[in-house]
Amino acid sequence: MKRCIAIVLALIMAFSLCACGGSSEKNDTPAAEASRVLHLVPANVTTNLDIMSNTSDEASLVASGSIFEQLVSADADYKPVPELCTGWDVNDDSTEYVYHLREGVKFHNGETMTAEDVVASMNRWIDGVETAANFTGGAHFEKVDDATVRIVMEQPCAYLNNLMASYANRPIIVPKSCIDSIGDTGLLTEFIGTGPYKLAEIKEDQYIRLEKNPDYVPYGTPGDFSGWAGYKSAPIETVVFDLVGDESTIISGLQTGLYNACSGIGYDSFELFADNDDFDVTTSDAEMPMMIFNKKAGLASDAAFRRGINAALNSDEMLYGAYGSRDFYTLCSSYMFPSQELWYTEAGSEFYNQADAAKAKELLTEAGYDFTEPFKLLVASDSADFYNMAVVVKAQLEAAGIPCELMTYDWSTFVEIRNNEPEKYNAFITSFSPKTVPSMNLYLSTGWAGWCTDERIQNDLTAINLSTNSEEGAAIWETLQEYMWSENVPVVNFGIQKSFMINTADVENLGYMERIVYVNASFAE
Amino acid sequence: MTNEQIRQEREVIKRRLQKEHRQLTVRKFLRNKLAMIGSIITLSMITLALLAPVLFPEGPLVTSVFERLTRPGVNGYLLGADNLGRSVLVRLLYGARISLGIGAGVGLLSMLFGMVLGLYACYYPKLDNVIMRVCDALSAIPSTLLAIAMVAMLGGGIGNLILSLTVVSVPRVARVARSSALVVKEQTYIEAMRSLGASDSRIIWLHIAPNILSPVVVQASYIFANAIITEAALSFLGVGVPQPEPSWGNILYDGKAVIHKAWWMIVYPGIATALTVLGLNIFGDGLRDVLDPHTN
Amino acid sequence: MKKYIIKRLLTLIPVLILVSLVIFMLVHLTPGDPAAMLLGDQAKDAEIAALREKMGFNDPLPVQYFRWLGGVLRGDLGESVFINDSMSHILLEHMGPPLALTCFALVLAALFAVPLGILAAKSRGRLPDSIVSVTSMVGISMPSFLLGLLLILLFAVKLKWLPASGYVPISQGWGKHLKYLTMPAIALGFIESGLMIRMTRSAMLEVLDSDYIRAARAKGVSLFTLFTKHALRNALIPIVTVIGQSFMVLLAGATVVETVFNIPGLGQLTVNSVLRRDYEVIQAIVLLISVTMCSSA
Repeated sequence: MKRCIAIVLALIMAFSLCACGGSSEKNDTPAAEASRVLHLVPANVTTNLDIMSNTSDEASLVASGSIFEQLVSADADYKPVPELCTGWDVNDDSTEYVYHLREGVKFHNGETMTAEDVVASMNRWIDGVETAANFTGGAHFEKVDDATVRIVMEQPCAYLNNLMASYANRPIIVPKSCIDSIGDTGLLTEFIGTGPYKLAEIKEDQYIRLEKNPDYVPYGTPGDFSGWAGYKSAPIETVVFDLVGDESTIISGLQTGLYNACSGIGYDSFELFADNDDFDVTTSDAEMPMMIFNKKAGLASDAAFRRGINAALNSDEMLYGAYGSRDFYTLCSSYMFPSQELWYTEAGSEFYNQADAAKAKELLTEAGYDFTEPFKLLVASDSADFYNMAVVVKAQLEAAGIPCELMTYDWSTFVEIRNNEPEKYNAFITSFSPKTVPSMNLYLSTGWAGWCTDERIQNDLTAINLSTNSEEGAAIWETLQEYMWSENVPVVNFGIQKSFMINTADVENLGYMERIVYVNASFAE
Repeated sequence: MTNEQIRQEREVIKRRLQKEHRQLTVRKFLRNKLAMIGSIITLSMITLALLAPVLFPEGPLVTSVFERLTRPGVNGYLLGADNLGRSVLVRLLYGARISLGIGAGVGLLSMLFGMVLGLYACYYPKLDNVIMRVCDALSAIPSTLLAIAMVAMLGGGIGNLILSLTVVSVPRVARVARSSALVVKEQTYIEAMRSLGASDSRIIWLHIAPNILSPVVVQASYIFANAIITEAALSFLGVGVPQPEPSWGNILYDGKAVIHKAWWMIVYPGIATALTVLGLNIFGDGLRDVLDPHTN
Repeated sequence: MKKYIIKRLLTLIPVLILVSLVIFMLVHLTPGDPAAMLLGDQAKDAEIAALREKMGFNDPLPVQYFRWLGGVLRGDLGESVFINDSMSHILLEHMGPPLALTCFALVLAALFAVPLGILAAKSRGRLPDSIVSVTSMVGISMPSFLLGLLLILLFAVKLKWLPASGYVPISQGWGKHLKYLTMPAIALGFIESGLMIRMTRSAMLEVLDSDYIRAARAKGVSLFTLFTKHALRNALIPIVTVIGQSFMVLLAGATVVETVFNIPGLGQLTVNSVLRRDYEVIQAIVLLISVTMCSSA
């Protein structure tokens, strides 16, 4: 009997413990005023909001343009637009940029933004981001007067503003005091920006809550907002990011009205919402899935071998396997997106989507391949799309007589092997968002997995960076893309994946460019 | 009668008794409905698994992407097609090879190591403390978690998975073996053997081991079933058998992503898993009843 | 009693040291890099290497181990590099949902199992008994994550009665809370209910065979009174004991169910931490669970 009582007591205590835990949250639960809170669901969970260091899409969804702003932002065509400055002056050979800061901009902690803050933030970016340092050639920002900063470089840099506007490591402007108090890790510990929303609470693995910044002064003209830049009116007081991470939870949450919008859920769930009047679905060109060859070691370090593999690939079949319908991808041989008119070119397209097993065999025999050593394709089991593509690639290669081994790992191990153990694999699959300048594409850099160290590619990329006008740069890029398809094949582009945003029909003015843009979102009356 | 005659006589009687005992056990086993049903289910699963390459020589990896998610019964896909147009039936049968193989491997290996550990722990009190503390430590860590961590460390792969699951289940067998062996060890005939000067390993392996076999075998059949479940769970969490090999857990993993569209990718492998585990559990229960001297 | 407790605690120490060593080695020898996870996919090699150095992951393993062990002995479980919160708070935060889930599962399992067990005992050897036996057998053989998937398929996808997954704390209302917990609780409790049916059945049979029941029957006590007043009351003790023991088993089993239904509990925290290589959190969780398991064993 004693035992019985003890167990009953334990049960009661357990229940009351949960109940206590629950009730103490009551004041700050996100759904307290369900009707006025915007609930968004990132595709993955992340809570490191230092988007200068954290390059994940989810962190940018939460913080970019909303908590943090930049000197320069991008419009829907990825054109640089002044954000925390009123404009800039560039000299003729693109070696000196002068930015005129907006006055009276306040940080979330009440301080006014000064030239010192901007210089400290921009130099943190140059010191912490390799590509930025490459573009500026090591030059740093300096203060001219209280409302002006400039950077003087030894080499021309025609695309500095493009880089600032859209590179994945974002040059966010934060108070100098925050940068000074950064600890050992080099990551921001306080997330204080200038944007229309400020961080209210991070509840790990559960949600991130933002509140409207009452002191925010919008720039531009009301109603004029494009891409990521323009007039931000922030009509909704509270925005909550539910860190769910699980697709069926996201779907049922959308259906039951728990969440207002999400992107990045699987294509097989599209139909659930597409024909439903309660939801709006917006698609856009999102990313380019690619196979990145490992050029540092193994079979694929030989360009002739890479040409052979490329000949065997059937992109259509791969993309259909991953996305399930032709509505969700377009075949495209260009490495820059069709919307980027300056750079888009079809040079080398005859080497794209060849699906020619016989030719592959011939090329590989010429390359001295013995058809017994397996082609090792590294793939992360967490990303279903890439994994499905890899399975199809395996089937296609084996149809051409090339033994192919899939190395499937969880994401952490995948990244570890990809970055540090080049002798173990020959290629991996991942995807890339649009970049405004070809040299910003990570897969062409020497310091990222795949290690594109080809001299001609690197020289041409530098030439593009140093070109003083865009036509000159575009011409170099066209021949370089031709070379990438026909000769060097550092990577193989499969096409363009379309992604979609789903939102409940009562939410208006949501933008969608790479990620959900919610700074002007409002609820319908 | 000479000594020789007595010895022969004894030998004959011993053989007859042994034979009778065996027959009795077999008859008891055949009479036990549970045990029979269990073995029929298990054996038919094993047969299907063995027949897979004969029935479907093309293998479980052939994709035909444009027929993805074909419903069961359409276009010759008896149990439907999965998200890459592979036949669910074929993958299920080949999956049985992997899932049952892992289960059997884990069952046998943990029986072997568990017996070694249990026997030596029981026989050498000094070792006992060390071995049992290690077993305590291993079983203090939640088994799924330990398996996840081990698989992550060793890397995916069927061999590593068997190894990890064995490590997780050995303590259970070791405990059972040890406690049964402790009882046997106290019997007078062991005492007698020892005073006759028999070596330790002779006593352990020829006289104690056979007598603890039955509880250990029963335990091993449960571990077999458990390993199938754990393998499926780990693969379902994405840390088990590396894709695209078709273990049942992997089919379920693929199925969860399309659960709104393709019920057949969940239901069929689900039935296969549950049925096999059920078969093994029934078999284990029946075996326990048969081997337990308290039931008739 | 005091002596026993002290002895028990002393034997606990080598086990816990062993556990800490095993889990530390496992976690740190696993390929994967928290620095790379923290910086996102597009970070370059040099940036990752710099962060690793700063976070102390480049020190020799023994140094890292003793640094951690020293902290633990001082009551400091370490700091997560991903979660900006104290470790004890993180752990507490993630303990509520699995506790609620386990309690609910236990209640459901008991409500389901005890009447069935009594029914089986009452009709021993006849059809209802066989049906109940088969049910309990199926229950024992059904992996909880699989049952969870099948439930989602039926109740969320086909019938749309219940939400497919997710968790709502009690603070948002009991109704909503239980609605989200129903399917996970069934999935989790079904296995245990199989065991409970068996226990109830055998406990009841034992009592029904006892002399005082025969005496009561001979006295002409009605069947209903006999069952509820005399038999059940005595059979209840072993049954409740089993239910109590099930609590720990269910709590451990919650790991996988949490992942299937996306409930923010210890299990999900563990799986997430393993996937993103959050060393400190994994170590703290394992230590916590091991201490509980060891001291309750």
